[in-house]
Formats: sequence, C-alpha cells, structure tokens
Amino acid sequence: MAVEEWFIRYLREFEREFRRIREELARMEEELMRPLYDVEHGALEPLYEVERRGDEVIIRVDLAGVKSKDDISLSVVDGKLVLDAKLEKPFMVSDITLLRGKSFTEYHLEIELPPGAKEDEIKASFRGGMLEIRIPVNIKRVKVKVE
Amino acid sequence: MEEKWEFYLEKEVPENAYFLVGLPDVGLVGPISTSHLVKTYQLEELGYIDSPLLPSVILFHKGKPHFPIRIYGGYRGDDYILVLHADVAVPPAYIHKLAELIVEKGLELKVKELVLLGGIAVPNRMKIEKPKTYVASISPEVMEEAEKKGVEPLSDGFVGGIYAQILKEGYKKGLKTYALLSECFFNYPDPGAAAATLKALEKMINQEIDVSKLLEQEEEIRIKLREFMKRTMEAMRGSGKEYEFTVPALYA
Repeated sequence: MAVEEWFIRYLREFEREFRRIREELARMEEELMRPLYDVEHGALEPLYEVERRGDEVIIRVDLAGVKSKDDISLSVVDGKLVLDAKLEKPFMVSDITLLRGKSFTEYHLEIELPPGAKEDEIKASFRGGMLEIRIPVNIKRVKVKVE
Repeated sequence: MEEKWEFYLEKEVPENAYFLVGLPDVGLVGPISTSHLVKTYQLEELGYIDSPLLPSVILFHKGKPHFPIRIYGGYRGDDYILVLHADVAVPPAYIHKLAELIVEKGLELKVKELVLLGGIAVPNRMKIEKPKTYVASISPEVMEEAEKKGVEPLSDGFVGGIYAQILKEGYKKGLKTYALLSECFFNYPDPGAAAATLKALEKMINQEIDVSKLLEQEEEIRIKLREFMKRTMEAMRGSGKEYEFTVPALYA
C-alpha cells in the first residue's frame, strides 16, 4: 500500500512538473513569435536588457527616435513598471507590405518589477536614445559563520 | 538533416577581389555595414548561399524575391568588391560548415583578402561617442599591416562566434583573413559601430566609404532592425559569442 501511495504521488509530481515545463516552453515560444509591433495601438515594443548588479536591478531600454526626456512617462502600476515614450516623428514601415501605411507614434513596455523592489527609490536617466532605469532591491542577508 | 550547403554565383568574379562578409552578430554591425556598402557602391546581386539547415525564408524587396544570404559584387575603381550579406542568423550548430564554405570559396575565387565586418560588445557603449575599431587576425603579419594603416590590433580577450571560426579556417588554409570589430551594443542594432567598422575598412582597402547617410539614418535603422536583432540574439545562444566578456584562463 505504501509503495502504491508513493508511486501515485510520484506520478502526480511528474505530471505537475511536465505541465510546468510545457507551459514554460509555450510561454517562451509565444514570446519569441510575438512581433514587436502593436498595430492596433500604433505602438512599438522597445528592445531592453536587464542586469542584476549587487542591490540593484538595471534595465536599459533602446528608445531610438525619442528626442527628449519630457516625452517619456515612467510609472509603477500594480507591481509593474509601465513605460510610454513618444517618437519625435511617426515611424512608417515601407519595406513590409503587411505593415505598409501603418504608423507608429510611441513605444510601450510593461515589465514586472523584481521581488523586493524599492518602488519609491527607482531612478531613470535618458541619454542618446537609451533609457537606463535603476531599481534598488531589498536583499535578505544572513551572515554564515565559517569554521 | 543533411548538412548540404550551396554557394551559387550567376556570374564570374574576377581574381584578386576584396571579399567582405557581414553576418548577423552583436549589434548587427556586420549586416548594417554590408547593406550600406551594397547601396553606396551600387553593387549587383550575383548569387546566394543556401542550405536546408537555414531558416526557411524568402525575402521580397520591391516585388523581387531574394535568398536570405546573398552575394553582391562590382568594381570600385580598379578593385573588385565582393560582398556576402545575410538577413538571417546562422544557428550555432552550423557555423563550422559555413565558415569552411566561405573560406573554400574565397580560395577558389582567388580573392585578395577575406574581411569580416562586425562588432565587439562593450558594457559601457552608452557612454562611448566614437566607437573604437580593432583588427583581429591569427596572422601576426596581418595585425602588423593593419596597425601600420592605423587600425588598432585587438591585443587581449576572446573573439567568439562564426567570425572566430572563419579566422581559424582562413589561417589554416592560407587565406589572408581578418576581422574589423567596433565597440558596440550587445543586443541593440548599432549603426554607429557599423560606421566605425566601415571607416576602418576604408583604411585597410584604400577605398573611400561615405558613412554620412548611415549616421543620418541611425535612429531609423535602430527602430527598423529591432525584430532582426531579437531573432539574432535567440539564434546566437551557444555560438561562443558569450565568451567575449570572459577573462581567459591564460591570464589567471
């Protein structure tokens, strides 16, 4: 009986893990296939990178075509960083038939904040079309005695 | 799947050509450079490279279909310029075969030099106004020659990805091969770095290259190539490029 219970538990765990991996792969595939154009809202998704450095998470966003920091709106909404930035002039894609005639006027990006983010201490700077966002994070530290 | 590669040329290419290569990599410096050269020098499309191992795509431009990896050529004064331009990233598993093919074809066509146009990612690119360009080659003579022409040799660190493989193949098979690599962003299209690479090429092959249009259209190119950059970053995983930020054990 004990062996049977163990086996059923093992199968359930295996099934759960299998489902988790399948969902993660589907999410990655969706992310990869998703275009960086939102035709309906005339918005572009910018390229960005995330770097963890000590007590800080740094996000760098390429906002090519945005001229001034005054054209950028950055806020925290329900644990998400929400970025909107206006392009200096509308961007038209003439090289792709399916997008011909469509006009894009802004960037839009939403990123989940890292766990422990100090929302009130987030800083951002803009230079040469690149936005750098610095997010300080609380880190739990426990001193381990070395014997 | 069979590793079959085809290098097709519609027309004959004269001997002693400069063979310039622009493959997708960090900052897309290679394809941005070769695309600019093809337009500026008004080079003619001569052929393509194809393989069942490449992504199954055809590119349409002004109603005309094109292979994603294409060969262009044309005279510039007395020199013949042969250009390999790619609009798709090469998966890491196949870079060895492609590197072999490029070098073998270079030898068969009796090209003068095989020049790899690209970038080398630096973490502080945001703060660099004018990116530096380095020459990398396995041959010390080529490095010396480049230094005399005013291009700084890459003295320390790794060169990774397909260009490292082409440098090795070129050296082993006795073809003069070098890479011109400019400081660039890792995962953002970098026309500024491409302009720097082309200015270094100008010194190496003694042919004027006007990069003003490239710099004027910098922001537009950055916006346009976001998707291509994203696909390239995905394809580049495991290509060896990640080593470029690594301190070699040699220095430990």
